[in-house]
Amino acid sequence: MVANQEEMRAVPSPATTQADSSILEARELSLWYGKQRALDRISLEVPEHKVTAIIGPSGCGKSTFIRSLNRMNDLIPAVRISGQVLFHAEDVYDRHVDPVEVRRRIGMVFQKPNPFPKSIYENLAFGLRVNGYHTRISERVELALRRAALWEEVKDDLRKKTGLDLSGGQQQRLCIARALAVEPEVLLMDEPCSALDPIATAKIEDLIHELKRDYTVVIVTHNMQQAARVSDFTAFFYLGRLIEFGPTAQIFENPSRKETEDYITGKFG
Amino acid sequence: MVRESYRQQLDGLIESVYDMGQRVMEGLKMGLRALREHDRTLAESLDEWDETVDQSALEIDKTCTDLLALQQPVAVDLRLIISAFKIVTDLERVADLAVNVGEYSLVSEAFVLVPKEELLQLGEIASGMLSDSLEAFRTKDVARAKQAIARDRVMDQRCWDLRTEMLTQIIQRAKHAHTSEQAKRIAGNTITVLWSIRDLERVADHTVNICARTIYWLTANPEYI
Repeated sequence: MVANQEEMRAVPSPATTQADSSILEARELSLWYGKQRALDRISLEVPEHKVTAIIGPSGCGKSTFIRSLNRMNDLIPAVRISGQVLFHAEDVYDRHVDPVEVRRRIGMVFQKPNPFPKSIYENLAFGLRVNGYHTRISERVELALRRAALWEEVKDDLRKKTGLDLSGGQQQRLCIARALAVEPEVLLMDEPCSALDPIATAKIEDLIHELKRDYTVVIVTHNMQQAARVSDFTAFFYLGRLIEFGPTAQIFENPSRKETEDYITGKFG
Repeated sequence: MVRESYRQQLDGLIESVYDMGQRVMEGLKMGLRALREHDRTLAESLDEWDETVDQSALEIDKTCTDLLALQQPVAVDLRLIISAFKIVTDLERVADLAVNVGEYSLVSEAFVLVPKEELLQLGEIASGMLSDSLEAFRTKDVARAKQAIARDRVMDQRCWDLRTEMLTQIIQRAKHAHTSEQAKRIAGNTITVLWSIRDLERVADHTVNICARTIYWLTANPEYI
């Protein structure tokens, strides 16, 4: 499942996975909500075509971190950022970079499914049109629904049912399809299963496993077992700092930092 | 639960254990052939073969550890992993015993005490039981596992009979030992033959263990763990 030969590193050295090429890299990334520092000099390379899980106790900065990767925090007042987020070696916070384009190429799925109150078809087609796609819309909708493992369940109801008519698990896969429709390279998932039952969760986890063939996935989860099941690499955050990053098997079988071991064995958090 | 990749990993674990078992089976047959044909080269080649078996055991242990740490298996899946851990240890020990059997062939004069053919028949029973235990594991066949366990009584009886026959011969031969050198040789040969019988009996015992682990995996009966 993971490349065992790869070395695990702990901060403050730049957390990297060595053998894998990284597509996205946080470099000395810090973030403040007003005077409150939420991220403290995070340096982390996200390996391409792998699933990277971010774990840590509530308030450790994991959601803040992934929202920083595609500039979602721009929308929050009083947020200040220092450091860099390099996507294909270009800083997404560079003045010349269009944040809308960043969010298209680095898509996001949220904790609670948030489909539009429109038809299943329109849930995808709308985003496509907004992002400048005007041809082969039906084809793109089908492809995205197939990639999100939802096509077979909804193909006969594309225009009959709305996104809200679907079950919670289907709604979340619809949101994943919506993110995939605009052809991102990276998919950020912020606790995508926390509102789902175990069966729907299992389907999303299987889907994440499939998605890494074509996409790079970063998933925030408060569920350590989920991180262990779905990810290739795991980063442990605590109090806004990256404590440890490495292959998931090593993190869960032989973490190098005591804080990590204490957290994953339930001694705190 | 869907968890397709997890299911594939579990299926892969079954195949890996079975494949390791097949290799151990081949090694056991090599050991028996070395004994039958007094083939020193074949006997000596078993050491290197044993290292590859040990390596397989380590790899399967790692797979089991990863599955436990990363997938949180429960119920039948958990029992499979517990069983696989133990079966791998049994197989690794059978491999060590196969090496021993090969090494006994280097003491050819030991087998004047009992007909070598009788010893090889014990080997046949043990390797047949090993084969059945592996098939029972791979095909999830509780009945076949129980049948293999039942054959152990036959094996134990044959081992007992052979030991008795051998000791009777030794007592008779010892009467004719004129020098302490001759007596020592008889004692040495006796030990070699006793160990070879004991090792084949142990192979059968390990196959009983493999069957028991399989039954535990499939039925959750704690008596078989």
